[in-house]
Amino acid sequence: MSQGQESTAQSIDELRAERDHLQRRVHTMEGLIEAGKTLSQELALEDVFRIIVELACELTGARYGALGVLDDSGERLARFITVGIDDETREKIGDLPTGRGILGVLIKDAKALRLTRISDDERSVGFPDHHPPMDSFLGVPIVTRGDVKGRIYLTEKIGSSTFTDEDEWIAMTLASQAAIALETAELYEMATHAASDLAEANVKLEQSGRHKSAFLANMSHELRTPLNSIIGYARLILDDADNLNSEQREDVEIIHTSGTHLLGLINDLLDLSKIEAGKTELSISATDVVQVARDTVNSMRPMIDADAVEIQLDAPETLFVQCDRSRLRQMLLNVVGNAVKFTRQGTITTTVTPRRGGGARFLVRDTGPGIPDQDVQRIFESFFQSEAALARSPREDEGAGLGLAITRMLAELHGGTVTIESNVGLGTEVCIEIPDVPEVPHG
Amino acid sequence: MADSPLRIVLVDDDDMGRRMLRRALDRRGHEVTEANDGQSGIELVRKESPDIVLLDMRMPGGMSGLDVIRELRADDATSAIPVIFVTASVHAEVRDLATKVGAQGFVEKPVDFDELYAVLDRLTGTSSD
Repeated sequence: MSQGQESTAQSIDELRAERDHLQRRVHTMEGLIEAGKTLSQELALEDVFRIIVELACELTGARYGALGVLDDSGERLARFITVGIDDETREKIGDLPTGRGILGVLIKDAKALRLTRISDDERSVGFPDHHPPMDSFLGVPIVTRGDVKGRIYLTEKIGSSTFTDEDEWIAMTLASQAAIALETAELYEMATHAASDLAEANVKLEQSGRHKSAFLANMSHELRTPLNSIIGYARLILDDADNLNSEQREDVEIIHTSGTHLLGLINDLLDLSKIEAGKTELSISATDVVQVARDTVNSMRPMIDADAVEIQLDAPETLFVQCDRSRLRQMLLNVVGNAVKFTRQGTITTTVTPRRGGGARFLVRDTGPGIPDQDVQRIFESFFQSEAALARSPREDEGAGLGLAITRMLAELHGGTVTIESNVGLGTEVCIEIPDVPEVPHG
Repeated sequence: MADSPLRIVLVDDDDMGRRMLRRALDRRGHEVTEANDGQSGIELVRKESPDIVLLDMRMPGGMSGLDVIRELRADDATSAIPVIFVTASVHAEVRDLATKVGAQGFVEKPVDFDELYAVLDRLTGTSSD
């Protein structure tokens, strides 16, 4: 063989070696890609770790592999998944490695470590009984957010006395996969905790909602019983008014009116809690809303000072809307009632017009004191009352600030709206829009 | 006060409320006898065979208004006597229940006398006009 042939043969050998190396490399890459795919599926953490160790052994040619994960203290191994050692042997070896020996010492070390003979390392304390003999060693850390969380151990490289740089790179890559899996599991656990906390909070909220409803129902019953006497006896006296002088008659009328007012508040509170609890169902029928508006306006006439305030209705002869008649009446009573309460002179006008797209639009305009801008924002909140309005209310005992809150909830139950516009010194305009509500029988 | 006088048994544990209703009914010329719990109410109804029973819902002593009406309905001697609930339990569910067990009327507390009179008139077929 000539020199040239020799060198050709050599270069062919080199090329072959290079090809083999590249093929291995491709195989490795394929393995890692495959690992990435597998691991991105939903798997139990234990399975993920096992797949990682198995791959690490396969791709580096290690006879034995293990993956250790530290517990929360960071001092001890909580899991130790092994490959290449059968269960029986593992059983015989016994406890997980602790802070002694190579495995133990390495727990806290963030660096990779490669040894040709484990027993040559000064930190080695020898193997426990029944442990298979191991010489070549490669250990890489599993690091999440800068903390060592565990380690992949590979030993006894097949067909070679020591692990290579490439083996170390493979192991590091797989260790980072393990780190991701660990981190994902931690996040998942946190999310699960948060979800169960949330569920618990929801249950508590629901319970407190039920307690509130039960409390209000009870309260309503307990308040109605004495109120029954207050209103009833006042009525008995008033029905026998011939025996009273005018002042006494007025006194008893005040008792009767106040009692009736208190009853209104109790009803409002019950209503509000029922609507809030989603327990209110509308009873929809074809309703002449002009008739409802007319009745409402007429019922207010006795309450105004006819010399100073004019109350009027501007509406077509009839207008039929699919809505809950008694709830509409309640809404209009609230809104027109507010206008009556706060208007000392001028005009209260209720305008009824067909709503675009079906239904009706009610505009109640008064010449009362008006509501300051900052209060208009809050006027629909339960129990909110405009301070300015409170100060000017001609009847100081009236109102709990529930009327508009209820009105809006009822309008929204119909799929409608309530809006308010007000100018201090000029008056207030409340607009209720109610669409035709389809009659859907509730199951 | 042109009502035809009725004989009414009034069953309610609230003494003041009962006295008040009796006076309101007296004024219309009705004749009222009273019981303050469910058991004595049933006995009184059996004894008096009234034209109408006015019945509270929530009462102490283990017998609610619902128990009372069920027992009255189960007894031939009392099954046809109209019962009107007069109660501070104003839930729609309670009202439904009252209708289901065979009550002829339901008046909420605080009692609006005009409403009560109207219910009585309706049951006895008299009307004020």
